[in-house]
Amino acid sequence: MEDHRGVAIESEQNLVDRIEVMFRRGGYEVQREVQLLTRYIDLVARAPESGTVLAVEAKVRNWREGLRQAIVYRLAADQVFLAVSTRFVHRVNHDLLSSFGIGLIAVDGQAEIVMPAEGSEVIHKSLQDELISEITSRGEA
Amino acid sequence: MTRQQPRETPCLFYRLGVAADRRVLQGHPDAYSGVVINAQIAIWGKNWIGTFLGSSEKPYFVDPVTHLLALDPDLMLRKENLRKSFEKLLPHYGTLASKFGGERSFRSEDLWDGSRLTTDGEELSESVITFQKEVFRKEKRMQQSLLRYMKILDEKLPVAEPSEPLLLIPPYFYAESPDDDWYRVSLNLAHFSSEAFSDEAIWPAICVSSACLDSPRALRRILEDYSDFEGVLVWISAFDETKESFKRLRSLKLLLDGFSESDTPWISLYGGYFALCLTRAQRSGIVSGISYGESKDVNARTTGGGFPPRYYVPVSRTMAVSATARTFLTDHPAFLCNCDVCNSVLERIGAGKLGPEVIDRFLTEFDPGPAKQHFLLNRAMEAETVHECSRQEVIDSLRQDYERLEKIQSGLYEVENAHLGRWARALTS
Repeated sequence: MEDHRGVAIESEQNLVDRIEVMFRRGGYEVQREVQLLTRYIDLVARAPESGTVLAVEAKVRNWREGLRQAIVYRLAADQVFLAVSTRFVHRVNHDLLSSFGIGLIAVDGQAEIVMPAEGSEVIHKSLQDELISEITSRGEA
Repeated sequence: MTRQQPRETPCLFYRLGVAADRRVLQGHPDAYSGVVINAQIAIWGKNWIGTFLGSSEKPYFVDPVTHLLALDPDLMLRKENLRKSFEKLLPHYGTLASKFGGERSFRSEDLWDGSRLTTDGEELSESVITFQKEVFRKEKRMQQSLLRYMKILDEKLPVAEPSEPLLLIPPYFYAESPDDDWYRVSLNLAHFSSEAFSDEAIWPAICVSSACLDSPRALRRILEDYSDFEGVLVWISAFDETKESFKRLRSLKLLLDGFSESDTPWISLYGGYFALCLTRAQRSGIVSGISYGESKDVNARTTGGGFPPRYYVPVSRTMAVSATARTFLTDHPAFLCNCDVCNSVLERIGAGKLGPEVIDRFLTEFDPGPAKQHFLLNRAMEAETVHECSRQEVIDSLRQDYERLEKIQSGLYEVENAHLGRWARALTS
């Protein structure tokens, strides 16, 4: 779909589609809309061998709102990313993301990690167990 | 029987929502002044509530919730049938309520013919007041036979009968403004009730839209119309203290201060910290649920079963859902509360340094009972602070807490602080 200038109108759905492709190519198991407490993580990727769990919050342009969500995911996922359309990624405050250890993915035709995430130091075991249980049971379904 | 009067200031009333609330209140009798029971809950849970009121010996009053009769009947329905609690309640409210409750909403002309109350209006007034007086009164016959039996056994009655309600509320209806017919109806019902029950403490409920706060004329009219009653209950529909503008907060202050200045006690039927700050002047108080219910839209459906547990964040004076509380306290454990409940949970889990693991275990232990107790204790401490400190000290503490949260960008955690600044400004104005 395009706007009046002929520019493709992005949706979060499109962003998540491309992020999923990126992680699947990297050998990750991927699930979408995974519940954590009262929220839904846009995408959860799990490395089959190491078991490392990554969480991704995608927003076309509203990176601050995305950051609010991503901050919570640090309690359950080993690494957390914020994903934003490449058109708007220049607006993101890298230092702020960095202060939370959150990485950044830019998405246009494909998704690319432009800032790596650090390992979360604030894991809540009860939440991580719940998240792993959720993705495991969905994987078996 | 002598009716207990509210303490000087400030009064904290809690709306009984679910049976589990009893245990929370019983555990901390010094943390609150009294309870409020919605009429349909009163009639439905008469036994357990009556027992609780008798044993707690706390003042109480019944909210007749008559406003529902003039709104969408769906509000009283569940799956197209009248909720059982309302099915039990409405016959107590007279002919009109029995006939139309749940099927069509009342019209102002049902109760008011333009110059006086109709017969139905008068009957509604008498029925509603009588219901509040009688709902928890044990059958006289049953009481006497129980007394004789107890005397034979030479035993004391295990539970005292509840005292009479602290105050009685005439039928009230929601009005968009003082120009609304329903405003006139409610006011006349209040006057009629005051005359018909002249020996009783009749406190009308003023139930109006928040748009009234935008009109100085409306505020003046409300004050003129209601200042001569023994006391008033105030409900500004859907007024959320944490979201409202400075102007509306200031208007609420003008309204409640206006009642205080005319020596008319007031109770905010759905109030939070900001209304609490206004209670210091005179006999006045606030009602809320235990960790919910500081704001209510008249058109909101009444739900059963209470609310999901939330953690009260003392520094922002707001409730936080689990995700917010966990994230905020993990990154900023200095904001963990040190009330008796929180300290007791920390002791129980054997907490050392307040790292993520401890916060995880702390909040896992916290649902749902301790969360409500924590709110109760914090609200009681806030009431004490408001009572003992000067207005300026309260304002200063709001500003300080605003700055503390601003410094750590608490908005990123969905722990908002902007309202603290607005409250401080409104209290200063």
